[in-house]
Amino acid sequence: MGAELQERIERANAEAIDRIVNAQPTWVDVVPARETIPDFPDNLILHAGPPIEPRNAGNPLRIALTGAAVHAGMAGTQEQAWKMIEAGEIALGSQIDHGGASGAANPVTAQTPVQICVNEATGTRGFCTFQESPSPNVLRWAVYNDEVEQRLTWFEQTLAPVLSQMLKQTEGGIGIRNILAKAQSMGDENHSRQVASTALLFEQMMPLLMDLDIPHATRGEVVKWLCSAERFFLHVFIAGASAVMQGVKGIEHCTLMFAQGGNGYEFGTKFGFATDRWFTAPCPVCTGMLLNPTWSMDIAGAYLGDSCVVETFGFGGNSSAAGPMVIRLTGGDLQEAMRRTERAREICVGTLDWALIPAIGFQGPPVGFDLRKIVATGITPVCHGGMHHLDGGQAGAGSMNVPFECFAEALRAFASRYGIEAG
Amino acid sequence: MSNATQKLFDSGLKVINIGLDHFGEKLRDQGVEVEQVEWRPPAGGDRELAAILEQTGY
Repeated sequence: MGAELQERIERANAEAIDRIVNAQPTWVDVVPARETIPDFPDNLILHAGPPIEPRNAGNPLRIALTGAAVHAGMAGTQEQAWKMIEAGEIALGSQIDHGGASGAANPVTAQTPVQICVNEATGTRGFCTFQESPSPNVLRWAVYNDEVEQRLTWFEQTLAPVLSQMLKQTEGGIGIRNILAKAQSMGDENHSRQVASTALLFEQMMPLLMDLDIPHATRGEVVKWLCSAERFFLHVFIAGASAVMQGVKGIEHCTLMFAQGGNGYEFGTKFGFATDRWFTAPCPVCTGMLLNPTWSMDIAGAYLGDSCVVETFGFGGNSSAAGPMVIRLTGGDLQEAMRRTERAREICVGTLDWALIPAIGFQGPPVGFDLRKIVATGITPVCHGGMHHLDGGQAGAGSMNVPFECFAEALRAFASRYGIEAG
Repeated sequence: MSNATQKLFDSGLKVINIGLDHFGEKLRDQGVEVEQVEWRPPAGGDRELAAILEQTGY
């Protein structure tokens, strides 16, 4: 059975890598979530990471969920919203389980505008909210106040319809693969830094916006807001990476990870061979840089977000060598940036040969985390990300190692599914 | 001590340290050149996981 099983695994993983490496993620639309998720109930809020019981939700997630509930009109106040969540009157669900991924804590309700990306090569889709802006007052960092409320309303009433109209002027959307390929040599690792990618995306968006049949004042508002949002590309890319990685779902015997995320309580991973199952462990906390020098790490919440889907697609930690400024900013050095990419290569089975990194001899970043390699070596993926302040707001930025137990459990499940006798 | 063993100690040491850095560090402190090889037992020494890995090609 050994040789036959190994052959099946290798074949499955080769198929998955082929789908990932040849992906053509394309931003095609912006729609209210209810238009892309069938039968989306009005009392449902989708959050980051694996499903969670309300009693286990930490303060940042509570703020984000209740803020979204008030904004959506499910409750009059955040206090009331939390009682409704505890009572089950407001339901919770995982964005990943619904085919998307959450940028930090950004919740999704039926009315939330989501950016849709399609991987043209496989036809699979992914979604993500807008990256809100550089303001400290954003729901993704678990802040809900008047500024956030006004921006969310503006997204729904102005930004989403304008960008949807803009994308309809294109021939099938805006491809993001070329942007990613160019930005690899422009200092982005495309998780914590996307300065170049955002500019390259805007280069395509601006002429389209100029030609749109919309009031001059509206165009001005949209363009000015976009130009203030240096990290706008991140959430488009999360939707794109999600669309690509959805293509790995349901490949029997495939040991590659297609999704990962944290809800601030547990961190979870998902693999091709067991699409519907989460493998979880206590959520890790990022280490790196705190935004306020008077803070200590005890104010930092555990990983809350699914943006690490970009690592499953070869960026972020895997592409550290392309974006060493991020590593420096969060306490590392150039050698650490190189080392992170090379360590990721030890646990991946493929290379993105179209996203070449000059600093490592024009190699592409490693892609396709193989749970067998991870369990064998004890090396786990390094994901970049920000830290939530336990009182709301962003505490800092850095990186974390995905817990080993997420992979050990997955390997045990793999053995059980395919009848492998352990010992 | 045999001549061969004596000869080994009389010549300059060339050390490859596999696994825990600590042993290599002690020698390095004494001026010995040490090449560190990062190694750990498969699956961190967990026999059940190691047995599964073996059947999946590792």
